Amino acid sequence: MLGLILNRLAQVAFVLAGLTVLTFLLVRAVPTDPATILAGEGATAEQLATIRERYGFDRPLHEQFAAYVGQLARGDLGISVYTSRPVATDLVQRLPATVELALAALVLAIALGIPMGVLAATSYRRMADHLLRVLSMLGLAVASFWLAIMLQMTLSLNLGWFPLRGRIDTVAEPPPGVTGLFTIDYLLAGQPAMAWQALVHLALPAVTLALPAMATISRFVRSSLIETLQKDFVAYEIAMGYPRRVVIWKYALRNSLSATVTQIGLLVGLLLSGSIVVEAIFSWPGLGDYIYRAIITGDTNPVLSATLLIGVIYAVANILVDVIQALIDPRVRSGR
Amino acid sequence: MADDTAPMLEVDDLSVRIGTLDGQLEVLQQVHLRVMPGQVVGLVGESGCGKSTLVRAVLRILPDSARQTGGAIRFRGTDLATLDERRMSREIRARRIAFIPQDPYLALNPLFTVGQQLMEILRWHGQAQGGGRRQWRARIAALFARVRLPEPEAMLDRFPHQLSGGQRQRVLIAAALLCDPELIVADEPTTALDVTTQQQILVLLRELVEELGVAVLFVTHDFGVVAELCSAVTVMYAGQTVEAGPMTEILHAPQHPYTRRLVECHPDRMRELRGIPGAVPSLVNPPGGCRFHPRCDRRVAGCETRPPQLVDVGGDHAVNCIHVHGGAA
Repeated sequence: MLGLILNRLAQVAFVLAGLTVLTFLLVRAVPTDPATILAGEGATAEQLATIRERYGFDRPLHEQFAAYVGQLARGDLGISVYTSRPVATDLVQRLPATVELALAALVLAIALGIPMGVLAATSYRRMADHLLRVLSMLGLAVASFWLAIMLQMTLSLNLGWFPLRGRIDTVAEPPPGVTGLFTIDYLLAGQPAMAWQALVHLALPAVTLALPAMATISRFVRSSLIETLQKDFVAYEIAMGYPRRVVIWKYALRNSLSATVTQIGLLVGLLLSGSIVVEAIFSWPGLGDYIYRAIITGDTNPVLSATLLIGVIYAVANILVDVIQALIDPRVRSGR
Repeated sequence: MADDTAPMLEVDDLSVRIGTLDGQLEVLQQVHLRVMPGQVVGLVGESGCGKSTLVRAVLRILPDSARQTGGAIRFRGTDLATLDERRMSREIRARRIAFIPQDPYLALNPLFTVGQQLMEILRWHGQAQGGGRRQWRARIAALFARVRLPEPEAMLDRFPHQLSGGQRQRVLIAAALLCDPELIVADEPTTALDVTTQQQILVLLRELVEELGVAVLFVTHDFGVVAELCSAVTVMYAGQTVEAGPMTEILHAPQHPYTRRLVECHPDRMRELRGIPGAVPSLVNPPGGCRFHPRCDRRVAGCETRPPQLVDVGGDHAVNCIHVHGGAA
């Protein structure tokens, strides 16, 4: 198991190195002059030249890259032009909000997606299966920005059941930071009413983000479970008097999770990129919202760093996937 | 509770249909079979003759596309078709009719230890034995020792992929014995194993059967295995019972031309191995009259047109052939 984790860590290091080069090149390749943005409107040519010199924009690309990597190694992610604060500080402040949103969406997607998939597989080609297929196709087809706005219009503005935006009411006091997840931190601080408020704020963005992930999970569970139910051991288990629900939910489902767990690892990427749009619409003060602002203002340091950070999260999620695979399947554990 | 003169398992004129893309296939028709208490009955036939379908029908684990369209399967006098899935699972399977499957490589769940899988059987059917987890583990270990698995205690915590094929088959045999069933249905339990292991498993089965006095329906395509193990034989061809009777009688005086050829195929009998020309017919469009007539060397006028009936020729011996009832049907 340890060998497996070390092996994956080495792969991740390689991938992240590639990602660093790629994001750097992409940002520098965009035909905007970072000096112009830094200097603001109406700067003189002389001022621009000074800025170029100070930030090294006038030096060759490979020197700029070497300097950038050196900064990264020291944990210096540069300054955000938009917030005029160190990017590292911004990221640390905003990461928990995104983690809370993505986790909530993931939990929702798994908690609903797996039973939906099981129901579809066990009612294969019958009514429930067809209904669930339509539902999951809708979940995949509906654009999240449209869904987000629809939910805001109906459930928030018309019915007033949910708040329109933000993590908590603007006048509310944030909880003492322990985990950074408001719902949990309020509970830890013994403020259940505030935890509820945070949860209600979380609901709509989490549902928006979870829907496509839920549809994906349910489709993967359905198809692998249908395949598993054809296996000899399922017939044997039924023939030896295991109750049907035990055969399905315990013995067959576990054999059907491999592809789904891999898919969930990939979904983490979908959730993080999806959070850019969802956070922007719901004014959720997380990474996505931060990246969105940085992109539209041409603020390169935050874009670079946040992209890297998302890459790291994604990589860690996929190491977790491998560990979970090994926990599910003894043959993976013993390397067979 | 048991009446030892009444049949334990009686399959009476069973027919089963399977819906396929080619339409409805009658995969079983006029199938008769009887297992007396404590008796070991061999069910013999070529691949594709419906043996496994019959086994699945008895255990009521036919695929959704299959339906019993006629006849009855009676276990201790109860028509199994009258039991719903829930009662079948709770009262019959494992507890009264246990199953030994064909392929030990595919029948065990790869993600659970063999101990977990056998414990699951006891969890639902172990009330008769009483006791809790620890007693159950002890019971499984004792059975593992009895089927001569090495390190029976440690074996409980192994995963199927850590066991050899023969060991897995021993695990499955132990599983079948867990709840002291009255009948064991064994579906070609040695076919997937190599020859040496086959022999060991057969010896073990014979020992256990003699010791426990449990009734066995033993499915095989190998007459040699039948000769070693069984006291009665039912021969199937193309979804039908063609002959049934006591072992010695079938082996030494087979009446149906098909049985005769099958017996001759058995290499131990020191004759030239003849094989049977032709192949099992397609069930999509089975031959009219007697289904064996295209391959039969005793074919006479009437074989193609008049389907014969299974006729009792005395001494628990029944034959489904025009020669036996003199074309009287």
